[in-house]
Formats: sequence, C-alpha cells, structure tokens
Amino acid sequence: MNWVFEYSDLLIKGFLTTLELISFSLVIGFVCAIGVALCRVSETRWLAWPANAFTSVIRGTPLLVQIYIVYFGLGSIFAHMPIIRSSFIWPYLRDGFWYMVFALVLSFAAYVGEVVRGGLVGVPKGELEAAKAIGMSPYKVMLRIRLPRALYQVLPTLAGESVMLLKSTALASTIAVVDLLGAANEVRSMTFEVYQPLILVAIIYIVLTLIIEQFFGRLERRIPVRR
Amino acid sequence: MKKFLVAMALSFAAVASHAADSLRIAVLAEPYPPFSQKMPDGKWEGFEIDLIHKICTDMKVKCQIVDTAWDGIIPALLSNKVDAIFASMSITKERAKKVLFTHPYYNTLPAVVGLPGQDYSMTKKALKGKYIGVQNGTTSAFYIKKKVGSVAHIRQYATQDEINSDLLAGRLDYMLADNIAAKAFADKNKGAVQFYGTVKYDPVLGGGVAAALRPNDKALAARFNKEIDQLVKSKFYADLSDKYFGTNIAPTNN
Amino acid sequence: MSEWITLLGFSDQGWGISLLKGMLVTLQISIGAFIVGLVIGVLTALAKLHGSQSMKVIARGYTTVCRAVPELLLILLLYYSGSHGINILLQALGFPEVDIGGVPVAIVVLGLVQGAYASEIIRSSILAVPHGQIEAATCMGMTRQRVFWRMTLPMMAPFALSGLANLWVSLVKDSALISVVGTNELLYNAKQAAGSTHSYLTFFLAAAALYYVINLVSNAALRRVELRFRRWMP
Repeated sequence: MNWVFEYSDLLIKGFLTTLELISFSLVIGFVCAIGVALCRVSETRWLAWPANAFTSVIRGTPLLVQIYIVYFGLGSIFAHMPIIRSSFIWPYLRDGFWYMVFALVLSFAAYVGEVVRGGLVGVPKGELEAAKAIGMSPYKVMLRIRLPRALYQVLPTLAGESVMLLKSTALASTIAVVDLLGAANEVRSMTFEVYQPLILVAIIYIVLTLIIEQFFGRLERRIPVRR
Repeated sequence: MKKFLVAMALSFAAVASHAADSLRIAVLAEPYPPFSQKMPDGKWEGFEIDLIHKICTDMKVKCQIVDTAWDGIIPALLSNKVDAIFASMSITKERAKKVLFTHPYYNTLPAVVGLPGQDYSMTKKALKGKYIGVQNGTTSAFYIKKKVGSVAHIRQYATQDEINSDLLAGRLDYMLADNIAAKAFADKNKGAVQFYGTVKYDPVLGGGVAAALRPNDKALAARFNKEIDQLVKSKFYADLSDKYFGTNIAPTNN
Repeated sequence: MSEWITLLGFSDQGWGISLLKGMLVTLQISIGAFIVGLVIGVLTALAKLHGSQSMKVIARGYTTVCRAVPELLLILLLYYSGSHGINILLQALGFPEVDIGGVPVAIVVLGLVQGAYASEIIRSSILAVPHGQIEAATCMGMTRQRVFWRMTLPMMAPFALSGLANLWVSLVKDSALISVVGTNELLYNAKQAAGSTHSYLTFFLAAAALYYVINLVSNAALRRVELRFRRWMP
C-alpha cells in the first residue's frame, strides 16, 4: 500500500476534480432540469415537442456514447473553427473537463426534468384553482404554488439522481480527464497494482454516496410538510 | 448453491480447458498502425500480426488473436485470459516484476509529433506550458514525465488512437509515441501535423519491445526466445520490416 | 453525404456490417445480463425478506456497494477478477480451469451490477402483494414453495414489471461500458471504426441511433406486455 503515499498528490487532485465535476453539473443541471420540465408541461407545442424529444433521446442512449459525441465529435468541429481557436475560451475547450460537465448537465437535465415534470403534473388541481381564484396571474401561480410544490415532491428522488450523477462522473476518465477513477487508472499503470487502487477509490465513492444521501435527508427534514 | 455456481460457470465457459498446443495472443484492441489494426471485415493486419503468424507457424502451434485494451492487458495475461502479449510493450524493470519478458523482437525510440511550425526541442524551456499527449503506462509516458513533467501539461490517454485524434483536433501541441507509429501517423496527416524526430535514448525507455508471458511459463519463454532470436536475424524479418517501415527495426543488442 | 454512405455502408470499405454485428453482441450481453440480474435479484430479495440475519447483512451490503460504486469501476474490477475467481472456485471443487470468453464475463459482470437494482424492485413488489391473499393460501394448506410459485410470483409481476422495464433500458445503456474493457459490442466496434477513419461524429452518432432504436423498440414491446399483465388489475 506504499503507493497511496507515493501518489497521494495525484489521488487528491483526482478527488477534487470529481468534486468539481459533480458540483458544476449538479447546479447547472438542476436549473436546466426545471427549464426542461416547464417546457414539457407547457401548452405551447413548439416548446413541449423539442423538450420531449430531447428527454427521449438522452434517456434512450448510453451516456458514454453522448460523451464521445460531445468530446470527439463536437470537439473536433470547434478545433477547426479559427474563431474559436484564437479566442479566450479555447484553453477551456482543449480540456475534456468542460465537455464532461456539458454531457453530465444534458443527462441530469433530462432525467431530473422527467421527475420534475411528474411533480408539476401531480400538483392537486384544487390548489391551482384556489390560487387563480384569489387573483394570481398564471405566471405567479407557477412560481409561487406549482413549482415549489413540485420541487418538494421530487426531493426524495433527487438524492437518488445525485448519486447517479456522482457515479456518472467516473466516465470522465474515458476522455483523459484525471478524476478519481482516472487517477486510480494512472496509479495502476505506473505501479501495475491491478486491484488495490480501484478498491480504494470504490470506498471513496461509497463514502461520497453516504454523504450525499445524508445531505438530502437533512434537507428533506427541514422542509415542513403537512400530510 | 455450489452446484448452481458450478453449473453456471460451466455453461458460460466457451471452450473447456485449452490444449497445450494452442495459444491465445493478446494484441491491442485499438488501431495501432502499422503494427496491428483491424480491418472492416474483421481481419487483423500489421507488422506485429505478421510476426505472430510467422512465429506460430514455426513453433507449430495454433494461435488465436484476442484483442485486449491496453489498460487491462497485463491483468488479462495474469488472470489467464490470454497466454502471451504481443502489443508493442517495451521491457521495463517495473513490468518485469509482474510478467516474464521474452527476448525483444523489435526496438525503436519514441518520437515527437506536433502541430506544425513550432520551435521544438526536448528542453524545459521549449516545452513549458505545452500540452503533450502520451499513452498511460508507456515508456513514452515515463520518459516525458521525467524530462519535462514539472513544467508541461502532460495529458495521459488510455489509447494511442485518442491521442492522435486530440492532436489532429488541436487539443494537444505535441505527442510522444513510438517512432514507427508516430512517423506513420505524421505521414498520413501531412500538413496537419509535423514530425519532430526521435528523442535521445534514456534508461527509462527500457530495452526493446518483447512478448510478455506469465512468470511461471518459463518453458514457453524458452521456446519463444529460441524462435525470436532466429527470426530477428532472418531475411524474412528484414524483408517484412522493410515492407512496412523501409528500414530494419530488429533489436541489435542480443 | 456520399462519404457517409461509403463509411456506414455494407461494402468492403464500409463499417455497416461491423456495427450491426456489434449491435447483435450488445443484445446478447443485455439479454444474458438481464436473466442473470433477475436470478440474482430474486435470490437477494428473498434473502432480504426471509433470510437469516447474516444473509440479510450480506444482501444489504451487496446492494449498497453496487448502488454506490460507479458501474465503470465495478466493471474494471470484476472483469479481470471475475474470471480469475470462477477459475479458483472451479479448481477448489476439483474441476479443470476453463477459458471464459469476453461476452460471458460481460454478462455476469453486468448481471451482478444490475442484480442489486433488480432485488430492490422485486422486494418492493413482493411487499405490495396483499398479505391476506398469502394467508388465505397458507390456510388452504399450500406449502411455502407453492405459495411462492402460485400466489406471490403471479401477483407481484404487474408491480415489478414497470421497474424491470426500466432496468432493461438502463442495462442496454450500461452494456456500452463493456467497450472500455474490449468486447466486440456496438460502441466498441464504433470506436474502432471511428479511430480507423477519423470520422468520429459519424460513427458515434450512428451508434447512438442504433442504441436509440433498440430502446424505442423494446419500450413499445414492454408497454404491450405490461398492459397484458395489468389487465385484471383495477
């Protein structure tokens, strides 16, 4: 187990990258998920239809393929555009990190969007009618009544979806991002220890999962619900 | 429960215990031209593939080619999924602790390929802040980390193929890879990339490319060694090497 | 456009056949893993509900690990240790070593990972069966085994079905991860084609389309099955 100390810098760097990946994609992905859900329940056809198609395609294809399409496909298109290559964003687009965040955001938006949509549809009609009756505009009804109710309801599922997201971040190692699994693979290739580095990071993922579940458990208890 | 497990394992077993006279040879799963590459029709082609066929014919053994990802190629050998590795693997001290190497069957130095028109030299000054791609766990990776690891961005990939695509996409400034594969890649993509030449020898580069076996397969190693020693001096080898590379890449020091 | 047709076509230079062959292997792996996952899922669910204390702990530990550790990591771990483990087991029982191919190992590995999810689905649907029905069956003198086959299983099926349908879809998607360790399935063949031709976008989009087709077709089929199973339900 000497390699743990020898390569501790690398492993810590990988750990931090995993944390960055999950925080960025969780926050941006959640905002996008609400957007997708609102489009899907919208009565405007040209909003609902693309949102439904987006959800169906993202949920119907493997994340790894999506990552390859984004990184190798879109990435090489960017590289052949001189405007982008000479611009200030190129250093960011060189790295796999932001492509990974992008792919994770798409995925989280589709999966959680589906859950939020379920929540929005499930809000009792009576409440919406009551809100309308006291003179709230449709916009206000959505913002003050329907959306908050839906979000409370999806909170328990959100913990599960966040754990899924954490697990998905491990795919970053397939596009040369040194996340936790990427670091373990690098250690493996240098020390030829076959299993030990993998087992170590597996334990770290389990601990992170427990922390995420604890966090959402607390959040859930803090929100007053009358049943 | 025991019965159930055994039944399950047996029903999943493709072929029961392989005969001694057939060998499973691991080659790289990803395309690594001109050493090994799978064609659209599923056939394998390349210098290493031709060598494997020649060695197997001479040794009178049946060989089955098993494509294995580089990342898992040593575990595949050790967990008895394959019997020998022919995957452009250089002999290094670290690896020799896990596997048994035969005598080398070719020897080349790594070379540098990069985006065209750069002011290249293998120095910390010239490579400072540059993005350099290498394959995980290769002698090129060990070399570049030793030379400029402290100042350059070393990006490590699971396969050489991904490095090629990222260099073409301009995400990398340079890559370091085996001379032959690097030259072939640079020639195929003239204009998009430039060949900057091989690096100087360093002990970290190891002692040539050899087949790897399980440590206890000493008898098999002896058979391979005898065959390889003859082969690398033969006209067949010289012709084959000339056909693929235009030069003889036989190891000189054995 | 004509370049696309050449690349994806079925001629000597085209990778169309290779992709379709890969799709077939993907289906093989997914179907096999689904069956293995179902068997493991039922056994684990029974262990959780009726097992001894130690069996419950093992079952719960297995579920927790499989649900918290990334599939890719589990696959890397199990792919190489799995066949090694089976061979050690065989040797211990006095059998000769066997050569285990990539597809069977992929099936077992994915089955093990998905078994954890299957066990949760099955456990909750067993719990959803009204208890009175089971008691009535016991009163009529049915043995425990008979109760399981004749009562619990048919009654829980409609509850379990939608969960298992989701599991199938995610299995097909997870089978793509096997490409990282190198078995000739759909994504793996697409990667080889993309690497050889440098047409990354073309081949990955083609692979995505094929996965999508598998899922659309199986969704439609599963919906029909579900309707049939639910026909007696209120």
